[in-house]
Amino acid sequence: MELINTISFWLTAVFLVITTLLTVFIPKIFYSIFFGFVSFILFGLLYFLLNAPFNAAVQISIYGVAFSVLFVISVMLYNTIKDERKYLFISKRFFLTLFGISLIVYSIFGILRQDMSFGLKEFLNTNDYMLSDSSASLQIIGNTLFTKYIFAFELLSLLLLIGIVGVLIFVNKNPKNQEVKENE
Amino acid sequence: MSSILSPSLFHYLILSAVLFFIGIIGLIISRNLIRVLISLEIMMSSVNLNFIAFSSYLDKDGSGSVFMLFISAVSALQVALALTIIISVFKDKPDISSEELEELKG
Repeated sequence: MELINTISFWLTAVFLVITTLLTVFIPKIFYSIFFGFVSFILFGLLYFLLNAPFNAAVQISIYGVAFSVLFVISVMLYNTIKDERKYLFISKRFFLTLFGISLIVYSIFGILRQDMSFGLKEFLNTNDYMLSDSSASLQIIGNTLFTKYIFAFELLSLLLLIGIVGVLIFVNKNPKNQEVKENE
Repeated sequence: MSSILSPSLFHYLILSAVLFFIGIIGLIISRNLIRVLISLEIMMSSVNLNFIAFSSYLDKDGSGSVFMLFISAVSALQVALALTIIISVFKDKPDISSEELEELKG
C-alpha cells in the first residue's frame, strides 16, 4: 500500500508540474484551457491521496469542469483561435539580477545561520507527522463548518449574493443594451 | 522504498510552492486575460493543496478542508465576475489582450 501511494504521488506530481507548465506556456489558448482542465483533475487526485475525497470531488467539479466550460465559452465568444505568440517578456537582465540578488541574500543568511539547508534536513528526517486515516471525512467537515465557522459560512453566502447582483448589473450596463433602450 | 521518497508533508509543501510560482510566472508574462485567469486558478489550487496537506497531517477537526471550500467559493465568484468584466469591456474589440485595457488608465 505504501509503495502504491508513493508511486501514485510521484506520477501525479510530475504530470501536474508538466501540465501546469504547458498551461502557462503553450501558445494556443484552447490547448491552454485543456491542460488547465487536466491539471485541476490531477489536483483532485492529490486530494484523494491525502485522504480528503470530499475536497477532491469539489475540486474536480468546480475547478475542473465548471471553470473549463466557462473559459471555453468565453473564448468562443471572442473567436480568438489564432496563434498567440505574444508574451510580456521582461528582459533577461532583470531575471539575472533578481537571481543574483536572491543568491547573495541566501548565502548571507545561510552563513549567518551556519546552516545552508535552513533546517530542511531536520524537517526531512522527522517522520512525526503521520497521515491520519479519516481527517477530512464528510461528517467532520460538516461538524466544523456548521459550528466553528458558521459566521464565515453565512458571510460567504452574502458574498455570493453580492456577486450575482454585480454580474447582473455589469451585464445590464452593456453599451449596446443602453442604445437599444434609448432608441425605444 | 527509502523514507525520503515516500510522500510526507514536506513533499506536498514543496510541490504546492512550485505550482504557486508557475502560476505567478503565468500571471506576469501572459497577455491573454483568460490565461491570466487560469494562472490565478492554478495559484489558488496550490494554496488549496497546502491547506489540505496541513489538514491531513496536523489537523484533527478538518479546518483546512473547510477553508478549501471557502476558497473554492470565492474563486468561483472571482471567475464569474472577471469573465463578465472581460465580456463587457471587450465587446467591440478584436482580441482580449491586457494591453487593450486602456479605459482604466484615466
